[in-house]
Amino acid sequence: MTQSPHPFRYFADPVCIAALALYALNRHILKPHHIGGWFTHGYFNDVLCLPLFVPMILYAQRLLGLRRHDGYPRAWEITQQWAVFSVMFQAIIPRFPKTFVSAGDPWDMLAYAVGGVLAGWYWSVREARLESANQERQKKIGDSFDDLRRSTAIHTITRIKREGFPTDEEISRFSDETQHKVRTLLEVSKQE
Amino acid sequence: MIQGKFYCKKCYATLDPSDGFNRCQQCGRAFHPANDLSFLRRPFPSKLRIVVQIVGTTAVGFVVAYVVAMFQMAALSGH
Repeated sequence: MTQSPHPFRYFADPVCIAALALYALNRHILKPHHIGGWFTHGYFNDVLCLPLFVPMILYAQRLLGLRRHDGYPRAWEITQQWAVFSVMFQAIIPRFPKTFVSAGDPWDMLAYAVGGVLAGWYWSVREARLESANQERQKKIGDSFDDLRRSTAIHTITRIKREGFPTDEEISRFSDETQHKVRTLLEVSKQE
Repeated sequence: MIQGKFYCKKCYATLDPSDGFNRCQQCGRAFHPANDLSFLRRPFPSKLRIVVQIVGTTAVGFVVAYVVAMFQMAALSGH
C-alpha cells in the first residue's frame, strides 16, 4: 500500500482538536450557564464523540499494527466505531446502573451518527483536495522534466526550482554526486 | 518451477521471483518462492488476517468506549 504524501495526523487532525475544544467549551461554559438548552445538555457531547475518538482509536490501531496505513478515516472505520459506541452506551452500559450512569437514550445513536457523518464528510473532502493538489504537483514535475536537453538544463532546473520542487528532503534522496551537481546548477542559475 | 502469481504480504504489490532479489520492489519485504507462508496468492489479506483485523479494531473501540464510560462516571460523580 503506497503512503500518502499528506498522511492523516490523528491527534493533530483539526477535527479532533476542534472536537476536544468544543467538548471543553460545552463542559465548562455552555452547560454550567445553561446555554443551548436540551441540545448542549443532552446531545452535544454525543455529536462530538466520533470526531474526537475516531482519530484516537485509529492511532491506537496503528500502534498495534491493526491499521497499516496513515490514510484518512474510511467510511467503514467510522461506521464500525459508531456501532461500537452505540452498543456500548445503549446496550451494555445501561445494564449496569450501579456501576455506570447512563440513561440509554436511543437519540444518542443519531447524535453519534451526525458527528460521524460530518467528520467523515470533512475528511473525505480534505483527502480529495490534498490528492488533487498532489496530482497537480506530479503533473508539474512531469512537465518540468519533458524535453530534457543538455543545452536547456539550467533553464529546466530554474523552472523546476521556481515551482518549489524538488524540496531539500527530496534532493537528499539522490546520490552525493547528483546532489552536488544539482546544487551547482542552482547556484549557477541564481547568478544568472 | 515457479508457478502462479505472488503478492506481498505487507503491501499486496505483485512480486517477481524471477528477478533473483526475493524482495518486494515496493516495500522491501523479503519472501521466498519455496515458502508459501512468505507471500500471498491473491492481492488481498488472508482470511485469518481479516478476522484478526475486525476483532482487533472492534476490541480497541470497546476499550476506548469503556474508558470514556469510566471518565463519564467519574465526571458525573464529581471525582
